[in-house]
Amino acid sequence: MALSNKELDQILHIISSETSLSSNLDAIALSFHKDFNRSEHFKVGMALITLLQNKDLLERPAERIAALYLLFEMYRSESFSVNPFAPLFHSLVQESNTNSNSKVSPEVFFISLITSPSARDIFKMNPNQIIRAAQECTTKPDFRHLRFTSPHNGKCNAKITSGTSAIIPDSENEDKSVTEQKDVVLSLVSGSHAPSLSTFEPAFVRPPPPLHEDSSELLWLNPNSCEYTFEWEPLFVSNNTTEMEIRKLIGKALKGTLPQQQQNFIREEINKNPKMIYHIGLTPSKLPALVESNCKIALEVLLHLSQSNQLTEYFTVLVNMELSVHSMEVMNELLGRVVLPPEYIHHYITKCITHCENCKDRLIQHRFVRLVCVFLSSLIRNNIIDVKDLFIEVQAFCIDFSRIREAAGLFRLLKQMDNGGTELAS
Amino acid sequence: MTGEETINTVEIAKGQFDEGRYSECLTTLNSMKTSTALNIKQVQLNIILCTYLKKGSEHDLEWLLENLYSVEGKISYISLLQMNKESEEEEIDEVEKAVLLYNIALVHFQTKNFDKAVVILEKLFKLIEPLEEGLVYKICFLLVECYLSTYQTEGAAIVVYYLDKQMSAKSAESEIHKARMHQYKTRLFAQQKCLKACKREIKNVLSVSGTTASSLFLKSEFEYLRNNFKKSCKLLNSAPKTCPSKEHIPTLYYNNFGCMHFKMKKYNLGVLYLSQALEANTKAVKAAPQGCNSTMYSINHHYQILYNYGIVLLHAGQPKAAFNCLSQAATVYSRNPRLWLRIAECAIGVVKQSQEIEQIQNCKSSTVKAIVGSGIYRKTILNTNFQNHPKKCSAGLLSEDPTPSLTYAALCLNNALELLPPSNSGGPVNISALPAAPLKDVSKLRASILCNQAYVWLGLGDPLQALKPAQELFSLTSAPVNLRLLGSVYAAEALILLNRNNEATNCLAPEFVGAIINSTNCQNKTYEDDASSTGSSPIPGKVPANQETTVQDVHNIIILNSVALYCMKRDLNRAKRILAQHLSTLNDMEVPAQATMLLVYIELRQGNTEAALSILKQQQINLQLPTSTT
Repeated sequence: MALSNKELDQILHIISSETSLSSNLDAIALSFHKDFNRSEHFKVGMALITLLQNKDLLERPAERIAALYLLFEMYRSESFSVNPFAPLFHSLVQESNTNSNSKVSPEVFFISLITSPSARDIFKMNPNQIIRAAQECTTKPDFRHLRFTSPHNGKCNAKITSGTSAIIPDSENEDKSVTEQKDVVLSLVSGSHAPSLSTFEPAFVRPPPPLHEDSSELLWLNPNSCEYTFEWEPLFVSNNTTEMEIRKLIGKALKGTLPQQQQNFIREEINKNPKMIYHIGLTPSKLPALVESNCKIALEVLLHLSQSNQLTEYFTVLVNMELSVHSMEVMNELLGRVVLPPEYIHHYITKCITHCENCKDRLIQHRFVRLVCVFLSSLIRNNIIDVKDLFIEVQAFCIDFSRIREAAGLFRLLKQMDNGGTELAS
Repeated sequence: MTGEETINTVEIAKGQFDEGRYSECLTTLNSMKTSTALNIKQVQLNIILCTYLKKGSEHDLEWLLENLYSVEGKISYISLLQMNKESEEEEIDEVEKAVLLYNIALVHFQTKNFDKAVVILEKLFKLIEPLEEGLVYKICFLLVECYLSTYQTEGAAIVVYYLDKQMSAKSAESEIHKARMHQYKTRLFAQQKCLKACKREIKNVLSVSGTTASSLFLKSEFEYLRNNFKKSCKLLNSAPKTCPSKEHIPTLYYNNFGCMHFKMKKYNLGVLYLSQALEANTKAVKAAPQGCNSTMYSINHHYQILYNYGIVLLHAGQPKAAFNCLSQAATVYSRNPRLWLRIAECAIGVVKQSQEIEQIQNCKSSTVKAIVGSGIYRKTILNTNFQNHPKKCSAGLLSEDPTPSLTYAALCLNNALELLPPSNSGGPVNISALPAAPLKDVSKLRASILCNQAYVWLGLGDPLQALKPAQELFSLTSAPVNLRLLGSVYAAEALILLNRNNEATNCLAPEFVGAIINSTNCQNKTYEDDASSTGSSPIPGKVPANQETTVQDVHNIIILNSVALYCMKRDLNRAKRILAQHLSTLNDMEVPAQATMLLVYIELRQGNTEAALSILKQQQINLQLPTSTT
């Protein structure tokens, strides 16, 4: 993006040689376009701006006119407002506005001429002639025709447009030398970090984020004193085959009633080796099927499970399964031999009663009422339930179905127990 | 073979297995292959085990796992997971396969696939009733170990409670397990931060198992958790250098010293210890006896140490090395959001460091870049690279290569944020941060992630992307004050780049900034409360490390940035007034370069070239830097 030594020589020749300054602007443009193609315009323009901004580096008014002209010429085919160097023109005009001096500077005069839409013949003048014309001019130029796009309205953000030159004139004395001048120009506009290309912006600091703080982030390691070893797969000999057979039979038992002989075989084997019940694939969800088709086996299994805390799982299934002769039979047997939590029993009895009440078919209802009555009588006689807890519920049930003989019997039994109780109490 | 003979052979084989004579056992098992009285699959399982366990075995755990799974044909990890749903048909009988499942879980445990092991063991734990007592204990112990290794304290507590109940019922047999239980309980209480209970259990450990390496390490960790580094250090030093479980004690010892020095903020020492830990670990793994794959796996702490090492390196100002360690660790611990943040911090650190080096080379640390020419032509060239912004890189496609760049940092930060629960999900949540303990304070982590995100996107030249996290950060009331203030700094810059200067001004306005500083006074208090409730006492006399950016630092930058913003808005008088007021609060030596540059800028803009030059000269004298002349 910076100029080479040769390019600098070329451009300096165009704007400051005597022949140039005495030829008209069109001719200057011609020699410029001969030496530089379009892609080089911007970097040449940046160098010219640096020269224009530092008066000591481009002193003669005619040279400055030539330089300004080239900045205009480069983007002449487009609207002036998109000329990237328009801000320089703008600032020169503003400078002269704030200047109280009534005299018009040749540069501002020139800007007013080239930007006015009417001026045509100016391009036939040479820089020296323009300066003379400027000196003769007495009226302040009018820039109303010219719309400088203010940086604040443009698409560019304030950070970019607030940039200013990074080069500050810092003269130590009045010493002048032509070679020194050339050297300074070269060091300003050439090189990969040419100062002419950098802009000085108001410093906006972006501090890097601090490291995240966390004191419990690291991993403390302790020696593991506990060993974990592989486990031997137990090898079951022969009785294993029995187990397989039982498994198969249980599978069958879920689908239909087994012959008496097979039923006995299963019950015997379970009695011999109770742990087997865990290996025969009987999960709680399968219990209802077993109860319906082979309630004797189901009972045997449940009795052995009574030692385990898995019983509640099986029991919950049993209590909640569809009411049937078989399930009630299993329930009845089980209650006679295993102590179960009373809330289960109460739940079951309530379920029985509601089932009877809700039954639509009179015949079936009749049958169930009789079953429930027998079941309850047996529970009461065997002291498995305390009548007092369910007295009102059962009594209402007996009265509802008093037309059925068994219900009447149960009612009498209740009364008897109740009297017995009060007699004892008194 | 008759039934009777088979029973005898089975007993012989079992005896050989129990005594660790695996080669002999293998021969015995092979002789049983033809027996019709046996389930060949069960024999096959034991053959696989012995083949793996025998001396000089060339097989590794992967081989073992593959073969264990293949015995049953149908079993795979996927089908194990499906066992949770009860399927009516062909239901796998878990009870029958309990031993196989336990062995598979153990392989997963040894290869540090804790999650998989836990799934299997939890399944077994549910149907533990019919199982043999010895196996029950093995399952429970392994489950507790897996829970503790993954910080699932609730699960661990349930199993420990169950074991306690079992053992109290059978007090005689459980004596041998007592020491084990005390160890588990110590670790459980330490994880639950019940330090009183933990202390009690440590006493039990010491009285039951004596001063073994593991009990002393446990006690040392306890003191470490309470920031009693002196005691912790003493206990580690007194621990024996060997351990029955073949763990390599020096590796653990160096690692823990690294942890301790990190907590004491002595990062360079921490780096030293952890590099020694890594070295010791590598040596120990190499020295592990051939054909002892289980040992090799269980003593290998490579990734855990690498994780620790990376974090300490980052704090010690070595982001490049830290980046390499943590990217490797992330292949194992990819679900840890904090780890992704750390990797991003490393990448940012690397980019920053390379820029600092470039700046030193180009002599850009001063405000003046060069003085050119002499006589009337002399020029002072200002250093416009002063702002030390990362170079703008194109924010095009995100590269997935783990190279420490800002684009990669952006990717890591996205990962980190993805792994956090949505910000509006209230209530305390435990986010897993393996290999370390779960995250307690998610909001603080979120604040750090947002802060880095805003910074990275600004560096990538994408103010629109930067604005969102920056704004979220300054409005996050639970975030630390300094981070919230940084949020407003980044938001302001993004807004300027988006040409929304008035909004930017609001972000830097004294009222806005003051509100953040004041609102968080009470916040700091709650942080202190947190610290005291967990029993950790603040370390006395600790000065903040130089990486820390204090609230005052950020506040100063905010004031100067607001001056810069007024400059951009051409309100030079206001800028000058604020700047002068701010400078009056600082002494000459404290004036940051930013302030000098702003002053120079204002003078130049107002046409006071002489004033600007004299400020620059004064500053050069203050810096006592010789001005270079070309």
